[in-house]
Amino acid sequence: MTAWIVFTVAGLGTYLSRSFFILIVGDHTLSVRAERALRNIGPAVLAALTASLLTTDGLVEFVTSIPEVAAVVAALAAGLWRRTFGAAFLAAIIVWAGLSAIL
Amino acid sequence: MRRMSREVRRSALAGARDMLPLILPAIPFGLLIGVAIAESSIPNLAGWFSSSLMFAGAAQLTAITLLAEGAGAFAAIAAALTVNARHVMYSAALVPQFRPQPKWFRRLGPYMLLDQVFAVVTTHVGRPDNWRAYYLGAGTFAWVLWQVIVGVGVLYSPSVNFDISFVIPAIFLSLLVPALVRRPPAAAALVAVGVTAAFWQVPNRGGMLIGGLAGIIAGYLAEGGDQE
Repeated sequence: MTAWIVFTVAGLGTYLSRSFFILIVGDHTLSVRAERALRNIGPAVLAALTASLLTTDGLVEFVTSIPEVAAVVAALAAGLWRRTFGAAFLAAIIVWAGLSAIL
Repeated sequence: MRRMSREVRRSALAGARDMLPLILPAIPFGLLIGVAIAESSIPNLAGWFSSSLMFAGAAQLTAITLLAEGAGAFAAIAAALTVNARHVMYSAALVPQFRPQPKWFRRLGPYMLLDQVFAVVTTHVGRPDNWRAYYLGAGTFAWVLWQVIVGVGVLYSPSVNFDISFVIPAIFLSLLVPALVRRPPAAAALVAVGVTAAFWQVPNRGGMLIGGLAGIIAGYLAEGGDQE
């Protein structure tokens, strides 16, 4: 029974965290400042999520992992050059898999 | 009318298609959660239902692990919700896309807002009905696959022993990079990365919350800040 209660309450809490701003703001018109603040939340959070995942084992572990650092550089270079998800992802995976196999 | 519905259907399929590369690397993780449920004292049915009740892999694994180790209900719930605190920022980020949507979608949509869905929809641009179809296509596909993967893990307990830990951050990074050609998102991302890395030791991915907030402020200032 405890497990059911935990999963149900945690599920409700998860839903509330995901819907918080969406339901609160609703139909209200936002000020220019609020719109400006919201505009770059996506890139900021996506970047923070990426950095958090890359440093899961530690900051030093990441910066000394040549395949991972090289793959990040390759993704940045290819993504900024071609401006597509595919180019960035392909570059990252090829560099990461290639260097991981060699080193 | 018919052309519009075809367009909407195409958007839903595009959402599911774009979700595929993000959800595939999550398969070993889902299997791992299934194995954790099967090997714990948690009833299999309750464990498997956590996939639909929570629909959040990391928080799900946290709650399952703590319950399996004998932690109390309050500790398991608090830990799972702490892990999911970042979802508040996803909610804030998607306000402009959700605002023109019908009420039923504003209430139902957030249920599906896991990391991968956020990553795909936040960079997608389209008319409100097409964006909604795209979101539902991506979210529904991820939801169905997640229930199946965790279910397979519970029933068959396969061993998961290959390393794909870099693939998921590589996907998030690749989704982000094309947006960095403008200065404000680039500033937001750069500050977010730096601060998150500086606070990487904060437990439960707390560094990500701090970094995300710092990035949001940097983006706001780069957009012109308080100037009207």
